Amino acid sequence: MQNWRDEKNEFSILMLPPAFWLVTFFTLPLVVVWVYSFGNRGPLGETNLGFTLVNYVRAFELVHMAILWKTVWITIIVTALCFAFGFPMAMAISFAPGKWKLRLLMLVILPFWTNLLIRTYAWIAILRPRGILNGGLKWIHDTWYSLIGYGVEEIPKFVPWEILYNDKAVVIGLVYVHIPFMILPIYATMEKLDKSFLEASLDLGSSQMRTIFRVMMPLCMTGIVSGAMLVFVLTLGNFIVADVLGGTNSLMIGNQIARQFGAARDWPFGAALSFVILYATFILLWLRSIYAARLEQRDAKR
Amino acid sequence: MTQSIAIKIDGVSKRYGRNVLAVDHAKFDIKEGEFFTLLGPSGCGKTTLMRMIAGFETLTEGTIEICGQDMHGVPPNKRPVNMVFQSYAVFPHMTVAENLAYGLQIDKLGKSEIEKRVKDGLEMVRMSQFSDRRPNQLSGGQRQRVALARALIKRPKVLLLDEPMSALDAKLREEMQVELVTLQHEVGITFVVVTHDQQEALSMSDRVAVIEGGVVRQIATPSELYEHPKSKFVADFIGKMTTFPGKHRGDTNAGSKIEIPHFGEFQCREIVTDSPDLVVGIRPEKIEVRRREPEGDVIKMRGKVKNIMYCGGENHVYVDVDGHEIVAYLQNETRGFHEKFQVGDDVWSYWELNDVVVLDH
Amino acid sequence: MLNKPNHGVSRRTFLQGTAAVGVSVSVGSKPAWAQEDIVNVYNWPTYIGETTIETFEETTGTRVRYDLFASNEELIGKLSAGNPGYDVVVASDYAVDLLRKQDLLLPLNYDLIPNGDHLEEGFRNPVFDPGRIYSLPHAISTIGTGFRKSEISREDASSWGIYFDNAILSGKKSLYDGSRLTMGIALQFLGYSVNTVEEKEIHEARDLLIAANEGILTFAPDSGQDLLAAGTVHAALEWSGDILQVMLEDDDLDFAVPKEGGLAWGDHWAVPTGAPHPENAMKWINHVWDPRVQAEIQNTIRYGTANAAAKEFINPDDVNSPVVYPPAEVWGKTEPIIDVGHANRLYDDAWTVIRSS
Repeated sequence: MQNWRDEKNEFSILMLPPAFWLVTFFTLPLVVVWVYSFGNRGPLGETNLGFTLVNYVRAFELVHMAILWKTVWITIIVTALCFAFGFPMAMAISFAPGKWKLRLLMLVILPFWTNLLIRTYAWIAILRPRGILNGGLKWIHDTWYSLIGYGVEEIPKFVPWEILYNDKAVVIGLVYVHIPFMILPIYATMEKLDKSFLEASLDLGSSQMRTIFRVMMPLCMTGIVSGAMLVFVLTLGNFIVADVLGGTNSLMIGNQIARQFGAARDWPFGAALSFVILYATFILLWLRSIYAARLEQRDAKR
Repeated sequence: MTQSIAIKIDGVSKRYGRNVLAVDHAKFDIKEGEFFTLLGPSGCGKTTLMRMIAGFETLTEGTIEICGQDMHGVPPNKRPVNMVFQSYAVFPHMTVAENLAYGLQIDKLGKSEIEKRVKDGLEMVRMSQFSDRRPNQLSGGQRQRVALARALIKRPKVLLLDEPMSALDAKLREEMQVELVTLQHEVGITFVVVTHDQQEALSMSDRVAVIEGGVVRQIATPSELYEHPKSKFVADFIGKMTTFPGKHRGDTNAGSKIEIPHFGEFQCREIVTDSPDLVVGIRPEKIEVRRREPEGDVIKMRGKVKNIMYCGGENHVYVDVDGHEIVAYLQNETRGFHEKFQVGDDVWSYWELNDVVVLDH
Repeated sequence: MLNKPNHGVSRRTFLQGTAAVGVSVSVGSKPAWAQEDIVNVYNWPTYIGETTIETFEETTGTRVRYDLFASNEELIGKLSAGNPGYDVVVASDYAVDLLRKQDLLLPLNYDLIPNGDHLEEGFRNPVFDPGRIYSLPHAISTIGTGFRKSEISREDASSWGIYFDNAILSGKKSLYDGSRLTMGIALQFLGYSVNTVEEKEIHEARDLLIAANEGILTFAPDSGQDLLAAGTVHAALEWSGDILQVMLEDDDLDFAVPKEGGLAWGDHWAVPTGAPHPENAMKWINHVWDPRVQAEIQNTIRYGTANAAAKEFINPDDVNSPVVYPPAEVWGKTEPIIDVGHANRLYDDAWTVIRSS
């Protein structure tokens, strides 16, 4: 059999268009932003190129680090919730009978056909004090009190649950927006999973729950990791949800960066902020690969 | 040894949708300590039957009892059976030892007890030195042993094995067959094996159930199955058989009178069906071929050698008798034996009356 | 239903979601359509009369090519990267200031804009464009408080103070998600200019807002009018035009320009440097400044005009509405927001602290 590795010339010609694409549309903009991050903002908001580290110094100021810290926390919570809800959903789809599978998958993907902003705005209608959620709660409240014998006049006033315009709303919105990115990769690995692993676990006496935690989850780890990575990265950069559903202090790092490229017209600072996140991500990935390499080494030694 | 019943299968049917009847009123017992095989072509319902015993499929009709206990509504993890899966399903994210311990942790055993059982289990399948390996570092045969040990150390009443040899290459397969039988004798647990390989079924089992199209055709010991198959399907599925259409021409004290049209009449020791039409069969190794006309009380037919296949230990000789093909397996008793016949030779093929098998058509 | 504003989503609401696409790429060479007898207009969505384009094409024979943008930042970004071929654009006060200072605007040729004479006295000399060399108003409005009459009196609503007293309508007030605007009202409340560059004053405004955070429900991305209409808040910092829309549907709503001043807001026609058809651009501005055309625009978009002659053709309800045209004494106290140069950083840092504490 011919090995494509031996055909260096043909291979490199084939690789040319994608390489070109990658350099032009991925690397180049990144380089531009990177160069900007060392520039400075002119008095009129124009970007003057140069070499200064002031933007980075400013990015490391406590106030920005605090926002980044909070954003990371929210992102961790959102990722965890996406997993907690997404994993059972992926399982439900994976175990659904054939014709239902496609319908359920469609339901997961369907929201993507609607603009993100509009979907986020819809949550206002659900969560606001006189919204759908509180309307339902009020109905339960009133029905309950009349059932236990209160007269119409005696029913205590319903106090709406304040769940809009605070971090709870932001988390709900972010989970809603990003959960498909968790479900789809997990579902994909589940579909490839040999179901006899699960049967073997049951057969060996495990309960369904133990089977899920001890066999299903570890075997779906690649899907879980890629889903979590996607959700994490997308949530970290999202600013629309915090904008629309957040309260007075729900600022996330994405809002901060977006504002620098928008109203504040301070592109160099915005660029530096973005790159601080990028560097942090790289360091995390680097640490993770070191950890993985160590595990491998340990395994090899045994 | 008085043998009590390990599994009682009573009128079990499995229907998928409206039209697919995977298992059709199966009714038989599997005795304790028995090596029992469910044999049949793929799609015959044997795997479905096994999965119903394990609890992975529900029954449409009938009952399954294991050790006298009705298994209706009992989930797989509560049944006193364990299964070795076709793919072995050895958990790739655990070491060999962890795989073995996985099932024991449920049983609320002490840590030292688990360790001891794992150690014993590994010794039993001669895998002790691999206890810290991951499954992807093992060969197929080694993985099978892990799966076996993992199931056996649960000390089930019955061990189910789904196509245990299908993932192994031919050489290893034979080794493992011997090993499996030895192991079964050692542990004394009832083994139920599903296979489509008749050779495997014959060599390992105490009894075999031959299944076709969801129906159990015959249950018997391997030799009984081979020597006295009840139907043409069983006869064909297990080994090779030359068959002729026959007619039942009444019974005498000596046995039944059977006519093979154009070839004559003979006596047969068995009393058979009420229908006059039946099938007469003869196993190829029971047939002799020679140039001279045989003497004595045999059934003989004159024909021409049509084809000879050299198979090492034996020759498969195809003889044409008036357009009817007879296959004979001749032992290569002496060197050069295979050169004794040439294609086109006029020969006699003959066999003992006793060797004739009469089948339902 | 012609009377009703046809923009359910105001142009500023629209910008919030999409504005983040701050990076604009300029087209290297001018496209072919630069050569033809056309005028390339660049405006916000839903911010023009129903017949404006039609009547322009009829009277001048010049074809209109109409393009939309979503934020001042998008406009500035595009123009500073090199005008991709626009002849006439609409920019807000501070954007006019910024563009002018970066030499990104051409002086208007008033010989071609005789209708410019209709400009009211009070709009002739704004800080962002002294002498109206570069711009003519498209629409004007004020920023004040939209409020629910049954929850708060007009008198109370007529002070920025309600936003800084956590006892008043606690958790039922919204401010705007924009540093200059929201900090602007704090500065005005403290008696400072909305355009101050004094660090001390900015910090004082910052601390005032931090203390007020508890009583404020949210910094709304220009959805204050919706929050007000839904009853989620009872007082919202908003543009007069946006509140006017919801007032049409709910009698219980009203708008007040606070006694501390209020903010003036205007969007203006201007001609960017490098416009391929500057003469057509002047003709366009002259056309939209024709009193009848101007009136038709304002009857559609429901903002105020600075065109004195147009008022007689505008819907009398609007002309007499103090929301659209605040009385002279109110208008006189309003301040427009202009660019503050390097002090932007002070505002932005202060805003970051406010939004994260």
